[in-house]
Amino acid sequence: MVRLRSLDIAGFRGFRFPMRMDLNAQCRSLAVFGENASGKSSITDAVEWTIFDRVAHLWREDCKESALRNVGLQDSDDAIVGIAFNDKDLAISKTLKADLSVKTASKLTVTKPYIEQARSERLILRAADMTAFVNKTKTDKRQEVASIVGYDDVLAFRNTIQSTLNALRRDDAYATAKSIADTRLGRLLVLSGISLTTSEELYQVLNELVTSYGLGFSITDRGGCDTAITQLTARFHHQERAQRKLLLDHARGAAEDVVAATIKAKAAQQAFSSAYQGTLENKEQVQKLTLEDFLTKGKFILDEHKCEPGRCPLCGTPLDQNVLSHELHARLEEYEAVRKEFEAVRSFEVSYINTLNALATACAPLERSWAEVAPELNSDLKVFTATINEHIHTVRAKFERFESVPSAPGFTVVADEFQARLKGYVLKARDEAAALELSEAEEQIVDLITRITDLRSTFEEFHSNSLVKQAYEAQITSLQAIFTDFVAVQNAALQNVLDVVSCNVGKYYGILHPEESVDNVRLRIVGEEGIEFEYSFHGERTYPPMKYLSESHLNSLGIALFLASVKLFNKRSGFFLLDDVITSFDMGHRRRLIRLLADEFGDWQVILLTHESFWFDLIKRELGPCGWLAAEVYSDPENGSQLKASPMDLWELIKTKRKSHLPVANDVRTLIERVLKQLCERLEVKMAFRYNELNEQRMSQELLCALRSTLNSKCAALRDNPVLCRLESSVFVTNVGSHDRPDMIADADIDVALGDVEELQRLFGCPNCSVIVSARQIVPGENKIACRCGKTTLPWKC
Amino acid sequence: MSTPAIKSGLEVVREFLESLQTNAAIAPDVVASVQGLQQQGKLTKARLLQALAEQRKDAC
Repeated sequence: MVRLRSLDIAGFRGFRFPMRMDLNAQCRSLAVFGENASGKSSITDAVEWTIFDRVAHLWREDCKESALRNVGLQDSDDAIVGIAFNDKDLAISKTLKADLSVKTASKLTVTKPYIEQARSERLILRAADMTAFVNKTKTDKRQEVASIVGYDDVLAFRNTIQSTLNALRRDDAYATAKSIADTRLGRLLVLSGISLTTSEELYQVLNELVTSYGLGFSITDRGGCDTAITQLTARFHHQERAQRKLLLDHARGAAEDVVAATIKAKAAQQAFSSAYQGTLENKEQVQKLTLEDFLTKGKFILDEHKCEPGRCPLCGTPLDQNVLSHELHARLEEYEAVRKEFEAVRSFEVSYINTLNALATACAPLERSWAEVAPELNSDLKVFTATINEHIHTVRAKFERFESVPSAPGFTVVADEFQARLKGYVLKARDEAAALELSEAEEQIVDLITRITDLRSTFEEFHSNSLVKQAYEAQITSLQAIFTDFVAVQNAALQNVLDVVSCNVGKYYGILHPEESVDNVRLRIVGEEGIEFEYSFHGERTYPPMKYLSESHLNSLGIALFLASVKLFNKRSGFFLLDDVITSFDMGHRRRLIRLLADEFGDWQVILLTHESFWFDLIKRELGPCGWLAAEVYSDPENGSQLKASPMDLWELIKTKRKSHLPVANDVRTLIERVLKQLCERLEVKMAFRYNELNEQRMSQELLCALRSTLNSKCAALRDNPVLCRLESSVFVTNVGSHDRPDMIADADIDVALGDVEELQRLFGCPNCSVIVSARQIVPGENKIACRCGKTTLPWKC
Repeated sequence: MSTPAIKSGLEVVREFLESLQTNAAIAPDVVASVQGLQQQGKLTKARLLQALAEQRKDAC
């Protein structure tokens, strides 16, 4: 598993100057203490930015890379974050320049797969995010759990099948084919007297029709049908007139079809117009439906507390957000009723469009059948067909915008005119046919041929459209079955994951809250689209968590879920960060969290950040023996956030700042204090007792005085050493000016003070092991104390 | 740091599609289209509709 080895930050967020957090070769867990705004979260931000290329809580507020550079940086300075891992090849360093360009240095072939994996893992829990999941709606919980467990692919698959299924159902070609097939089936019933759906049935009907003509064969296919017509045609005495009669009857039939389809379309238009009129009169209400998504989102933002409290999330005006949320709820309920009415109107629109498509389809045979009878109809037909297609487009577009569909001089007028002309042609064709003076036998044959042709063409249209309809329906049925089956599979798979996660959630929650009234916590699927925490409260199964749980219990639930997710889903990263997550816990529960981390996550690397000093002390005491490291961060206006550093680190800081000509007086004062504290600790200098922080707050003067007193009594060689006298009179020790007016301290004073500090360190430090001699390191048999390696000794009255 | 074995999202989808091949209630060519696109990582509504339209063209 990948662990953090060290973290280097410079010029990033709160850290203005370079900071190195070394987790040593064993990649230890680390507790970091810092007051509020000391820069703790800058550490979390640095890890998040390096791995995820963003810092979620900043990006949510649209504060991106510009918010990452420390405000004290010059344009020539870069913000830098470097992370070293236990696997040296994974080391990654990111530089953010003043123009906000980002440069990444890493072994890409090695880091890329790891970073991609790490981005799907649970690495960071912040206080703000802790209860966010618990407070989400059931549906959002499901979405988030799916994302956490890597089930985005499952959701994507399900959504694709569902949206494809819906698109197929709404496909115009399907609706038109269905409509034409149904119409032709009705016509076949009229023509044949039976429900005629197969070619066998068609040929049976045709054979019955021709049986009295003794053709000498049975019609069994299309060719047979043609042969029958040819033989019947040969029986005409007046071939030309009979052929003309056939042509006229055929043209008349086609025209009558178009007239019938036009009447149907106009009826559908009537129904649509009257329903749509209501929508247009209620236009303002219906138009509000366009706000539905917006208001739903707004309510989500309010309910999820994703906006500044006490203000309108849109305009920032102060207001009561509960009132606004209730108002949005009422409006959304009102919209729900409007939407249902609107859906009914939409079904009229769909039906109207289908009849228009059927009309356009009916026009196609007209051109062929009238080409010889009345070729002048062709140009009118083209105009009519174009008008139908344009009208379909207009109806759709206007309906989407809730605009009135123009009735004149548009489709209705053109349709009426064309219908009237067709009726005229039909009459003309009928008159001409009547004037042909065929014999009764010939009339019967013409009727028979017309009927055969009509039956055949109607059946062929029915058949071809039925095939289209069946093809759609087979696919719709299959996709519906896939969708239904997959929902069941998805729920089973998700519940399986939830059961596994729930095991640990329940366990960790139980560790945090033993012997309380809440137990058996688990996540379960609720309804079709939701996930919710379920738990026993005084022995009764119930949900949701907010029903009975206090804030700290909800926080515990958030922590338990995060830790359970870490264990289950972190495949490569063996570390995670908990940033200030115990704010609402009392001491008992904090101690339990420490035990939980020690017992269940002993083999994980945990970076735990807190602003609570008492808890920090507890962590040091309880987890220190388990190998945990401890560090403190603090912040001052001059240097920004810093790790409470050793004198060596302070030397580096002073050197860096002096190179940039920045004031270092306060840093020198701090350095003197740290060096003196270090010496007093190593030499066991006796001082007056002080409680807790007061002990830490001793000033240099007091430390120097006590050190000199100890040296005078224990080490004759250093009695009244001049460097101690010089430091005692130094402006950094005697004068508060270094605090208040650092600019008043001359460079020369700083050089002198640093020289004195160096000399003081040389008196006690070992050039070999760099460790100061210690009063606890007594040289056996001699009145001497030594450093760690023993090469440097100091005469000491033991 | 042992973790119980759970199926990934992609595994769930893949196993489901394999199980469909023996489901008589679902058209094999529809399954083939869905499965083919899923395996190529190209399963989208537009592509699936296009594949289904081609199948209908062949069927009619």
